[in-house]
Amino acid sequence: MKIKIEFLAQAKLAAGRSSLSLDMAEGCTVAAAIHAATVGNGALQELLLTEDGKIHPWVLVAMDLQSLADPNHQVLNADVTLRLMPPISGG
Amino acid sequence: MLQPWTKQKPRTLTEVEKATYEWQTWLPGFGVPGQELLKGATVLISRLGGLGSPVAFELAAAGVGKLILAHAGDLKPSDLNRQILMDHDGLGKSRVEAAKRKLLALNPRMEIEAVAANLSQENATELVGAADLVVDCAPLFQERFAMHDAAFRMGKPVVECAMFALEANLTVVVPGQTPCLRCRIPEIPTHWKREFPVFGAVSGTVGCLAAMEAIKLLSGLGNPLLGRLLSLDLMDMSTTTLDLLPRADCALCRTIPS
Ligand SMILES: [Zn+2]
Repeated sequence: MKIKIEFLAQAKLAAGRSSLSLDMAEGCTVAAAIHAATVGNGALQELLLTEDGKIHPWVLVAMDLQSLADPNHQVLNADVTLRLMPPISGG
Repeated sequence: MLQPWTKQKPRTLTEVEKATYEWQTWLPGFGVPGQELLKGATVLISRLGGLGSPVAFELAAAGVGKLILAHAGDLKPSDLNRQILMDHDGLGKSRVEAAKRKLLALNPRMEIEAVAANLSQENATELVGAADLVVDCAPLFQERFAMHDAAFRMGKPVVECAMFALEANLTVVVPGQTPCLRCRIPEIPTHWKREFPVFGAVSGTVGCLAAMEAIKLLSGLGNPLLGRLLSLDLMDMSTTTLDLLPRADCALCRTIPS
């Protein structure tokens, strides 16, 4: 199934792009999609994922326009846009 | 009857104030009662950098009765691209005192308490406790946590704004009614750096939006961003509004008695 990932803030800088389309297996998790989106980009992976492959607790993950309360265990729906936002605090 | 999200008492306007705020009191749903609620309000603004400067300036212009300004340190050249309450002659001098002078020049009727310290666990209870509403413009998550934890304990709304490069976020936290800051950011993020890329026009944009959210909360006007996060990207002028969910294991929210 096709999904889209949008990178925000520092994730956009680390990815070098604002979005990415992925083809993922049905029933896969959000964490698996993020892992697929960060393969080969250590800086992006470090920003979004812990060493054991979980999503950092402070990364805001939204599926379409709804934030996810537990993105590590969330199963992806087809045709969604995942938005990944590391926290910012610029004042 | 206006229903503000805050608990201040309205204060009667003088004739000078009626004349000063005449054009904004023409707004349906706000009027003189809305203006009297702004006059009765005290707002704490944490830091007067690129965000806090325009927040304070717009709230002073709008006629908020009292601002508590918390900001440590003296002005450096690298502050001047965005900290619009400061000016070149203030280099090497207290930023919070410069801000106070600038704001009183705009609105000499208002009261300003200038605190030459940043928000911390030590002073948060006192400073947040003295305000009806908090506007969070702090560059460090330690300060944001101190401020939000105190506001949560005391049931005070917080307008939370932040920026990075050409992107910005804005949301409103009302204890017991919306997800809190720790629902979204349960611990200090390790990647955040004290220094970040910023144009004053970006921080100024979100600062003005934050000031408008404060005015709405203080007066009951419109629909503030309760439990919604506005994400702006000025690089391509896109906006997205996300619905925020509470975190089931949030250490702060579970302290609310059920
Ligand atoms: Zn919470």
